[in-house]
Amino acid sequence: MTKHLMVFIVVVASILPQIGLAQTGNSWLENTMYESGKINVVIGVVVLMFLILLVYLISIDRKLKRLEKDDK
Amino acid sequence: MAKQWWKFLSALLILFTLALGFRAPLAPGIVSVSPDMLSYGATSVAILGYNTKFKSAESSLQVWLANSDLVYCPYELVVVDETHIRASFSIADEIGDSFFDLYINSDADGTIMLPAAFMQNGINVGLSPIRPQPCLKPLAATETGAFNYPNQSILNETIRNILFHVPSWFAMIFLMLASLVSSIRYLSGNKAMDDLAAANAAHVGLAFAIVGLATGSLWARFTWGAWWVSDPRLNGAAIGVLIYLAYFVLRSSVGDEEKAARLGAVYNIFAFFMMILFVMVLPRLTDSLHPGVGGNPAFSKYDLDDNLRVVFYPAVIGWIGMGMWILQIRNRISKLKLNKILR
Repeated sequence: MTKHLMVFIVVVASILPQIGLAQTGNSWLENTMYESGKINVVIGVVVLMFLILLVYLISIDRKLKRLEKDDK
Repeated sequence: MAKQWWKFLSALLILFTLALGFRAPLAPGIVSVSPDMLSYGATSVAILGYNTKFKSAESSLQVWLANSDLVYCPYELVVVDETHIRASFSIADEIGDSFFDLYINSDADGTIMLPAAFMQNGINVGLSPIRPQPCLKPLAATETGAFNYPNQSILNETIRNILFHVPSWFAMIFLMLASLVSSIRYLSGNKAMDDLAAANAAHVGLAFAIVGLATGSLWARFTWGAWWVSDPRLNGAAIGVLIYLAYFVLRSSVGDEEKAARLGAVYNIFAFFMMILFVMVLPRLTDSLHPGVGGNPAFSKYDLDDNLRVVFYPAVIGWIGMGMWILQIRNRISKLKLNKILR
């Protein structure tokens, strides 16, 4: 699991600057984020929070599944 | 099922914070002015409001500029609609300060302001400015009494992120505390389950730390303009995450399980206090963009007003509860695993 975590962090750390560079030229995604009082940033934050926890819960689910399989 | 009530409670609290976090409006505020420079003589400017009721409250509306202790009222004021005003100001050729703060007061919105809304352009700034005539009438109520969140320039609607980004850090610290307690219990009792519980709590805490880092990064991108700024608070949080990653590396790199558990428990006690030092103590000693830094905690009335608190504290309790729930599930899996080995 730690290995997965490390891979995740390395991937995120290598992707984030790319997104940052890609978005300097006012893409539609960046523009929507600044619209109507930047409310979409809040939606993004909530989506991000739920996505990360979802991935985490799925990983726990798989761990439990492996355990159940071994038990049979 | 009797002992499960706190799981439903935390789920309910999170639903509550989601509903209120998105539904409650932002307080009225001033978004921008154009042009944002005032020269000697007359200048006509357009003022853009947010969630304001300029037209409905036109009869009680007052607009003025504050420049050091000077107050300038517009000689002409046109209310276009609820969010647009055109105002014309006449500025003398000697003023007290380079910047003008813009204030608007009405009985619908109370007093709203935009600090340093205008910069002076080619006017003399001196100690003996030419004083304009006093022009303000008695002000309408400053408290409107509506349930809304503070409207701050640049932050705007993103102030709602406080209800999601900060509680995940609270949950992380709470889980790390649970991990510390389990490690101490392992060192005093030598029960394998205590060691596993400590590792599980640190693991869930790490997941919440990653949520905190990711949400903070997105928030920073659209308010500070960068995904990451080299800032004591941010770097401290990153170091805190690395300290706990090292805990897992240490645990998995020692072959002998009992030795690994013992080393891990000792390291974990250090890790907790190092993390607290890097996340909570060191950032407060220097200045930073992040609130809660430079001596003052993030709980000033501008960052977290009473209305936000009503939603913020349930969010903290709710996410801590979610973290404990996930921890409990992980612990039950560990217990099953342990029993299987022992069998």
